[in-house]
Amino acid sequence: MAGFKIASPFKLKAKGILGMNARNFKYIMAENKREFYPRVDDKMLSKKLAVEEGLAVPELICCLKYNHQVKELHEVLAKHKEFVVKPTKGSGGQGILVIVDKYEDGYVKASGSKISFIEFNRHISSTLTGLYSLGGQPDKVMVEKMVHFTDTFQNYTYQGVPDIRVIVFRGYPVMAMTRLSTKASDGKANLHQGAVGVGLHIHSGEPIQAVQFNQIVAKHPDTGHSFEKLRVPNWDEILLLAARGYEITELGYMGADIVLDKEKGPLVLELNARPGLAIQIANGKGLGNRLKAFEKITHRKQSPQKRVEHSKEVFANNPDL
Amino acid sequence: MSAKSQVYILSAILSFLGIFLILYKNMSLRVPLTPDHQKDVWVVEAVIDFEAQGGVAKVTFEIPANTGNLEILNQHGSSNNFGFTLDELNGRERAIWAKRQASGKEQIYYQFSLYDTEEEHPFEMEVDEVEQPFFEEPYNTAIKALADLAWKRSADPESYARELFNVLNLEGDSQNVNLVKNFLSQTYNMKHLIRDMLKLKNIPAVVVRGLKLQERARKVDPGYYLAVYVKSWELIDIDTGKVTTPQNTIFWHPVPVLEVEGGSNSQIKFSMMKSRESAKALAVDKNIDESPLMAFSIYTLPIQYQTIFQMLLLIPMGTFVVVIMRNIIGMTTSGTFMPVLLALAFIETTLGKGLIVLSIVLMLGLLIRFYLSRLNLLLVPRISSIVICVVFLMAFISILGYKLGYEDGITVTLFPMIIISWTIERVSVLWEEQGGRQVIIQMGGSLIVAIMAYFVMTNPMVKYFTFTFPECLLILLALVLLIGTYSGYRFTELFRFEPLVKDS
Repeated sequence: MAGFKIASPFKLKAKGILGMNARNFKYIMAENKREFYPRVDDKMLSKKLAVEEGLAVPELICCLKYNHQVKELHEVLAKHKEFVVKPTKGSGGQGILVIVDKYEDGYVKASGSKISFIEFNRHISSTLTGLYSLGGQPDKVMVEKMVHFTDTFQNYTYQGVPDIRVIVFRGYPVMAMTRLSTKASDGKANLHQGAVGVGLHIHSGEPIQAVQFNQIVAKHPDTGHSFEKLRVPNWDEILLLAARGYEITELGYMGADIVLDKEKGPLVLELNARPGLAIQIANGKGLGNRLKAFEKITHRKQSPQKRVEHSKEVFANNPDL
Repeated sequence: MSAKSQVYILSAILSFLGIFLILYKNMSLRVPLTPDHQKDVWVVEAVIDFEAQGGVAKVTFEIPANTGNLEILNQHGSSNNFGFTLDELNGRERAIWAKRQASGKEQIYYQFSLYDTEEEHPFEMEVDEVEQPFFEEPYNTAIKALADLAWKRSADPESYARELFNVLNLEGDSQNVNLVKNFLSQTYNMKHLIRDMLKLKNIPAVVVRGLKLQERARKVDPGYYLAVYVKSWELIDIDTGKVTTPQNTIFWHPVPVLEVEGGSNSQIKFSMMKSRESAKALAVDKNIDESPLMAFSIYTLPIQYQTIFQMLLLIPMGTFVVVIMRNIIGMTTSGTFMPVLLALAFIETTLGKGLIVLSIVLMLGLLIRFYLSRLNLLLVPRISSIVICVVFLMAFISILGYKLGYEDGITVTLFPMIIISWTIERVSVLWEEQGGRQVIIQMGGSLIVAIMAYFVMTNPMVKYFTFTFPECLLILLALVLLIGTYSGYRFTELFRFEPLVKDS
């Protein structure tokens, strides 16, 4: 397998590839203040802050904290056909339940499989106890309205939740990709599970290259469509939304996950204080170089619009960066 | 000062301190750096019995003066209400017990331990001028005749002594020998006669008592040896008459081994036990009271606490392996320090058995968890029930192992149940959420790291070093601090990011 070839660390360094240790040491620890972590680790709090700041987010149906609230939950959910259940402190997409329909004894998941009310309730109580939270601490469950994805990605995704990940450094978008689920990833948008990552040019939103399991692919493995023709709509809005995430989190190094709703346009799905490094492979570029380039910026606090414009300008003028 | 330079300075100080302490212990206290060869250690117990006469009782025990290749390590006496002192008289060491009112049977224990220096020490004793022995007639003539006979047949003092034995033992029909044998009594026997016959020819000779240390010997009496001076003291076996250089034998001065005042029917018996101990332990034993560094060492704790510490001191080595594997190599493990806990469990069970038991318990546990998930239990009760089932599984495996003849199956029960139960829970969630691939990657990673930690933690050198030189943990701390600032690539990232550099 080509993936088992070894690269010289000097070559990687020359290309400005960011390693895990450097990410943790130089960026996450240095740029992200511990006190601000709850703003991203608790998704209820991020949503509240985002709404206050006026960022578009998926609409909240309800949030529950105690097991006995499950009964009321079903009363509330009776009015909704589709919804998404999430642990507020989950990580890596664990514990997320996407419900698209009902049947007499339970709900139907996005994958088409069924989940009985009893199983559903167990899922809720396990989540509340902290099965999916970082460090197993007690958690809350939030229920959101389903996002209706734009048709843009229809040809490029197998079930699942296509989203756009933008790395935002000190408020400037520095790298982006879209994550598309595949059969191999079981409809999930996690790259390590086999989702396809397509790197996107910051200045245009056009695709750079696509990778699956660390290997470059030209076509979506399930739909067979070439990624070259992939176009992400509302690109400027997406970048602006991601950049504005900095205003609410104040985290110098973060990832913004954005989804495109058919009617509402780009929505902030979640913000992440420890975004992964696979985005570099999807972009074919090192994040280290880019972060260094943006470390030099010493402007006084710029508005999000200005920052997005600056980023676009930088990347349009430096195709090698 | 930046955080990074603080780390460098701190690491430098810590490792300097660690290295300094290790070198000090090694150079000045002679604690060896490696778990070197073992030395024989003998524990000798003397039991003194006597019947006290109802008044003041004083017991004096001579401490062996010539210990040859052995060296006395420590000694202590224990007895009922006797005052105990160690005393020196004319360069001879003696243990003295005294009591004002003693009656009936009394028993005194005296224990001393010796270790094999593996060096030969000559037998040493003062050489007194030879006093000519005096015999009554007709014995005088007979003894002198036999002495002359042996003298004629010999060339030097050693052969003279040997000939004395021959003359006195073999020529049973000779008149002189029969006569001389009548002269012998309980208190003046063959060995004394030969000593005096040596003295007749102006050869210094002394009867000494020597105790040959033998494994698991119980209630033995010290034997007799004839010491003959020929340039240096030579020892002669009184049964064969030959010169011997006895190994592992301790000798007393030519005075009574035991003296009891105010008592009768006294006797002393020796029991002994041999063990092997490392030179380290011996160095520690000798220095434990003298050096402040040793006075605060783990070795001053009772043995059962020492073994706990031995385990505790190994944990940092295990975590160090995890740090290297995660931050330098870049392996994924489920749970940060779960591999260390697994490794600790493997140490209890040995690796092969631990792996088998772990996989059996994990598989059965997953099956149970699969069933439990259909019962819709809350999380904590669910994990608790897994813990209980795991305990049952362990008990079952142990009993089964015992019935099949693997007695050490019992140790398996010490496997950390809670960890296994949590692992079962996490694995089953991981399986449902992320699929078998992630389970294999994460569990495989944890297992590999656990096995590596196991090998490091069971390495005799590592075990010895961490226990004898806990200071080495300072160096380890320095290294971990340094790794904490390492921002270079992890080894696995060289593969992971390889696609990024291959096209150019």
